[in-house]
Amino acid sequence: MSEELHDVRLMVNGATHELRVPARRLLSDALRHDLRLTGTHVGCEHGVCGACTVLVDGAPMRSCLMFAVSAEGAEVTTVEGLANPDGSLGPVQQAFAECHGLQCGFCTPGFLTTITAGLRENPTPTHEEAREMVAGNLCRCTGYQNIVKAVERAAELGS
Amino acid sequence: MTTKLMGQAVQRVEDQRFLRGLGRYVDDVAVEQDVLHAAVLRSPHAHARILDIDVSEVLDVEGVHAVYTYDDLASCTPQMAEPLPLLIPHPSLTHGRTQHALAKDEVNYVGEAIAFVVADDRYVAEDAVGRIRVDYELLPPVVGVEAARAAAVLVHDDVPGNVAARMEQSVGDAPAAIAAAPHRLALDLTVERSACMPMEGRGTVARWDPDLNRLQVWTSTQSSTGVRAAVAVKMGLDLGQVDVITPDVGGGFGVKINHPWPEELLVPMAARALGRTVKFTEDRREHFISSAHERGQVQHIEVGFDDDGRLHGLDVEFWHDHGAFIPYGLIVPIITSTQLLGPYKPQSYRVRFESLYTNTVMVTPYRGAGRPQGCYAMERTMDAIADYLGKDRAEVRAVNFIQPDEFPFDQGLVFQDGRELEYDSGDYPAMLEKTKALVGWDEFPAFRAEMAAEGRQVGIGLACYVEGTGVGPYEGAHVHIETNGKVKVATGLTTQGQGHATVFAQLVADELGCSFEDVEVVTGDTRRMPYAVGTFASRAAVMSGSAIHLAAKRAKEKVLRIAAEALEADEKDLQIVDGVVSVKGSPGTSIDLGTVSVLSNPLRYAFDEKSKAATQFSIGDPGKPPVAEDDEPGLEGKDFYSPERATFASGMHAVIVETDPETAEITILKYAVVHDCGHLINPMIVEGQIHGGVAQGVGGALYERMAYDESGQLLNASFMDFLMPYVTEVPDGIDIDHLETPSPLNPLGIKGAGEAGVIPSAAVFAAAVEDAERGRLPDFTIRAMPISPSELFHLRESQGQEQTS
Amino acid sequence: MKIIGSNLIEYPVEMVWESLLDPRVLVATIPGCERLVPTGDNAYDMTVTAGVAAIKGTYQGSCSLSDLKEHESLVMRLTGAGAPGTIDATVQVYFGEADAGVTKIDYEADAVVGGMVGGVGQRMLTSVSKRMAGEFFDNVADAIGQGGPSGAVPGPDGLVPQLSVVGDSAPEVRGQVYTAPARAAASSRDDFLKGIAVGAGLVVLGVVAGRLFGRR
Repeated sequence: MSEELHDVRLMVNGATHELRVPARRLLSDALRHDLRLTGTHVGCEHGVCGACTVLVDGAPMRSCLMFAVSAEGAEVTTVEGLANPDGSLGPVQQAFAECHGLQCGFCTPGFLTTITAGLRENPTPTHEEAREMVAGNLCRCTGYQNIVKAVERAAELGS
Repeated sequence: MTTKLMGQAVQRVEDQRFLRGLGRYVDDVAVEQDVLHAAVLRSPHAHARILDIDVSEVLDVEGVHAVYTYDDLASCTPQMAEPLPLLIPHPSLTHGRTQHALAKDEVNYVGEAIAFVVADDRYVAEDAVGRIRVDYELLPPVVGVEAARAAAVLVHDDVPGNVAARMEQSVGDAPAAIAAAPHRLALDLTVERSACMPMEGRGTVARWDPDLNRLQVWTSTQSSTGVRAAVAVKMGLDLGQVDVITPDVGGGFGVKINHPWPEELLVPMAARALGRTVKFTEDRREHFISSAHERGQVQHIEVGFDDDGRLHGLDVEFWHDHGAFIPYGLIVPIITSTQLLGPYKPQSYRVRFESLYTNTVMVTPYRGAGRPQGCYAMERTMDAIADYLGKDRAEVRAVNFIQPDEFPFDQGLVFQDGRELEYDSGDYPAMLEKTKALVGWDEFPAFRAEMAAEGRQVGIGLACYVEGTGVGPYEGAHVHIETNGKVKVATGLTTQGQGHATVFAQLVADELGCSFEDVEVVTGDTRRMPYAVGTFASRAAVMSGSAIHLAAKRAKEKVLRIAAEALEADEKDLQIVDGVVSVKGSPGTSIDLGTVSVLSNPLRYAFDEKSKAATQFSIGDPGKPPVAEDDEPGLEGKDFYSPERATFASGMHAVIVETDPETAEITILKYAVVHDCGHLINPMIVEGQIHGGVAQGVGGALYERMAYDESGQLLNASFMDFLMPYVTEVPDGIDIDHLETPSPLNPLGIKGAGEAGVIPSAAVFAAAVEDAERGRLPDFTIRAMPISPSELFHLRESQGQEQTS
Repeated sequence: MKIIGSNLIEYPVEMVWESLLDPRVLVATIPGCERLVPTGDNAYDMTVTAGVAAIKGTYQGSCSLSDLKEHESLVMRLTGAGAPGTIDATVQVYFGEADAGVTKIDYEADAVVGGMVGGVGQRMLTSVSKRMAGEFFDNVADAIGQGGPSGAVPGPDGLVPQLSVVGDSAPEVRGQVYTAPARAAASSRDDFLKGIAVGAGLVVLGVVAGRLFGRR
C-alpha cells in the first residue's frame, strides 16, 4: 500500500517550502532529501551524537528525532542559514576556521547551530560554560580542545 | 620575499565549504529524486545455516525494485559469487577466509549481509527488508579469545582450532636469555575491542553510464584505487571503465581502508542491472555490526632483566581475535609484534601470535592498528620491572632506549610492509627529558603527598611508543599549471579530515613559488590520479607530501626552462614569487605562470586573447620541432615517491589522574604529550591530530568496549551504550611539546603524525590509575583494559580482599 | 532459472484440462492478460501486462501447448518481449488426482529471463511467479464454478463465449480475438500484482516502472 502523504509547510533559513511527505519522514531526511539542504548530517539517528542539530524556533533540536510534519509552522535554521547575508562566515563559523575547530567537518554543522543558540543565550560564557555548551555533541576527530577554543573565540567575535 | 609555508599554521581551505554546510559526503551525492536506495537484510544470528529465504511478502511493498541474494550474484559475473578478496596475503596466513558479498548458505556474525533490497527510498527499502523471512538452523557460536582457543566449536568447518595463522619472529634466543637473567617476570594482559566509529558511516553510490560504457562510483573510502580495482574485477569491467571518486569523508580512522565492502559491490551491480543510480548509506547500528572492530587481544609476556632493569630477553605470546573473516590479513597482529619494541632494544626478543576466528564482526585496523596493544604490553612490562626493582619507571625505560647515535637501528624483524624494521632517526632520551619536564615527573611525589593530605589520591603514568609511518609501496602526484595561473594538484590517496588540501597546497606553493590561494588539491579521484595506494598508517604527509613536492619540483623545472627562453634570461637568475617568474633584481622582466602555461603548449588555434601568444606564427624556432623530442606539451609535473622502508615517528605520553576513593571516578588532571614526527608541514593540523588521537585514547582506555554476549550478540550497538567521549571526558587542555628528528628517507624530512595520539593511551592510563590506587592498595595491579570507574570499583574490592585475606 | 510448484483445483481433472485448452478461459483467468489471439492448434499470441509491486510493463508474446497427453500432462512454451525484458520458458505441467474431484497440478518451469527483468533478483521472480500461478489457478477454479467466463466480451459473431463443461471440445476459432473481461471490483492485490500466468509455468516479465520508461 502506498503511504499517505501530508502537506507540510516548512520555513527553513527564511524561505518557505511546501512539501508532501509521509508522516514518518524525519525532519533530517526532509531537509536533506526533499529540500536538498545537505549541510545537516545524520550520525546516529538515535539522538545521541548531535550532528543533526538544527534550530527550531531558535532552540537546538535533534532533527533525527523529529518528524517533518511536526515542524509545520516552526522556523528552522540549518547550518546553511548561519552565514552572513553577504555570504561571509558568521562569528561562530569564523571562530571555527581560526581555531581549527573542525577536521572532517561531519559533526560541525551540529556544533555550529548548537553554539549559535548557546551564545545567544549566554554571550559571555566562562571556560566551564563553554565546555558545557558543547557537552551534548560528539566529535571523533578533533578531541574537542579546539572546539572549546572556538566557542570562546566566537564569543569574542560576536561581542 | 614570501615566507615559506612549511611549518606554518595556515588556515584550512576545506573549512570554507564545511562551515557553510557545503561539504559533499557520500549521502549528499546524487540527491536527485530518481535515485534508488538500498537496504540490507543482516543476520540476527552469530552462527547459523541459511535454510531458506522467502521474499514473497516483499511483493506487497510498493516501491521495491529488486531483492538480491547470493543466488543472484553469479548472474552478474562468476567472480561476484566468489568470496571477497583477501587483500593482504602472508605466508603465515594459512587459513584465510573472507565473506561473500551476500551470505552463501551460512552466516558467521551478527550483521552479515544476506539480502540486498533496492527501492524508491530508504524507508521503503527497510520496510521490504523487514518482510523477508529467513529460515535458519542455529549453530553454536564462538565468542571471545578463550572460546576460540578452546575450539570446542569451529567458526569455519575447514579451519582447525579456529586458527587462521600462527606467526613467530625472533631475534636472538629470548627464552634462554630470560632463563639466564638475574630477574624474571611474567604478565598476563588483556585488551578489549573497540572501534573507529567515525561520525559518518559507510556509503556507496554507483551510476552505470551506457552512453560512455563506464561505471562511476562514489564511496566513503580510504582507498579509491583499491575500490576501483576490486569493483572492476568483480563486475567484469576493464579498470579503465571504472571511476572511483572519494567524496568528502566524515572520518575514517582505519575502518574505511577495508574494501570492497559487500555494498561496494552490490550497489554497482544493482545500478547496472536496473539502469538507475543506486545509493547505499548505512545507519549507525549497521556500522556497529557490519563494519569492523579492533583491539581485542590476550597477551602473555615473559621478561628477563638485570638490576638496572635492562632487558635481557623478552618473550611475548598473544592471541588476536580477528572476528569471522580476515580480509585485511595479519597486519594488525604483525604491527603489534613489531611495534611492541617501541624505543627499546631488548637484547633478545621472541614474539609469537595466533590469529583466531570468532563469530563476531571482523577486525581491521583502527588508528594505531595494533600498536596500542603492543605499546600496552611493553609499557606494562616496564612498569612491572620498575615496581619489582623499586626503581623509577622513567629510569628503567631510559636504560633500555636506543641511543641517538645508534641510528639507523635495525631491530632484526620484518615490519608490516614486508620490509626491515629499521628505525631511521629519533632521540628518545631527549624526548623523555621533555616529557618529564612537561608533566612534572620529578615534582610529582610532592604533589601526591599534597593531595594525600587532602584525602585525594592521584597517580602518574608514562608510556613511550615508536610508530612506523609512511609505508609504501608508493604515492604519486600530478601538478598542472593552467593557462589562467591556477595550479591543479592531484594525488590518489584520500582525505578524511586531515586537511590534505591545505597541507599539500602549502608544499606546492613553497616549491613552485605560486601563491597558496591559486593551488587546488584533489585527493582520491581515480580520474585525476589513478596510481595510488591509500590513506592509512599515518602515511599521507610522507608519501603524498613527498610525491607532491617532487612533482611540483618537476613542474618548476619546466616553468623555469620556458620562462628563461621567453625572458631571454638564464634559468639560475630567475625566481618565482606569488606566481610570477622574474629575473632576480630586475622585477620588470617578468612573466606569470599562466602565460608560461600558454607558451608551454604550441597551438595552431587560439581560443582566447592570451592563447594567441602560443600560436605558430607567434612563437617557436622554425628550425626546431615545436615540441622537443624529450618533451611534452603543457605545463605539468608528475612524480612518485617510493621509499625503501617506513620512517619512524615516536612519542611519549604522561598523564596525572585522580581516582575518587569512594566512587572510583577517574579524573584526568593533566595530560602531556611530547611527539616527534620530523618536520611539521602545518603544526596546527598536527596538534589537531594529536588532540583527536588523545580523545580516542581516553575513550579506549576508560569507556569503549564492544560488549558481546556468549551468543555473539553485540549488546551495545549504539551510541547510547557504546560510550565515546564527549568534551566532558577529555582532559581540559593537553600540554604538547615537539621534538623534530627529521627523516632521512624523504626530501622534506617528515614523518607521519596521524595515529600518534592514540597509541600509548591504554598503557598510560593503566599505569596512572594503578599508581593512584597503590596509595591505598600497595599491590594494586591493572592487567585488563579498558578500565571504567565501575570496573575500577570492583577491581578494588577484589584486589583489596585478596590483600587483606 | 528453475521454478517448481504445485497447486490444487477443486474440480475433476477432465474439467481442468478442458478449461486450460479454452482460450476464452485463458484470457479471463491469466492475471494481466489483455488479448489472446489463436494462431494455431493450442497456440496463441498474447498481450499481457505484468509487474512486481511498483514495477509494471506490457509484453507481447506467444504461448503454445504441446506434447498433450490428455488429462495427464502437457508442455507449455512461452515467449514474450516487452520494454523491460524478455522471457523464454518451457514448462512441464502434470495433472493428477489429489482427491476425488480435486486436481493436483505440478509444474516445472525452465526459464531464461533477459533484459532489465533479470535485474530484480531471482527470489523476487520466483516469488511473483508462484503467486501468479496461485492466482491463475484460483481464477480457473472460479471460472469452472461459474460455468464459463462471466462478462466476457462478445466476439465478432456477437456471441458471448461459453465454456462447455463436460464432453464438448473447446471451440477454437482461428483469428478470433479474445479480450479480457472488464474487471469490476478487482482487489487491490490484483491491481498490484498483475503478472503473467500461463498454464502452470509463471515468470514475471515487466519489471520497470512505467514512469521510468521514457527516461532512457
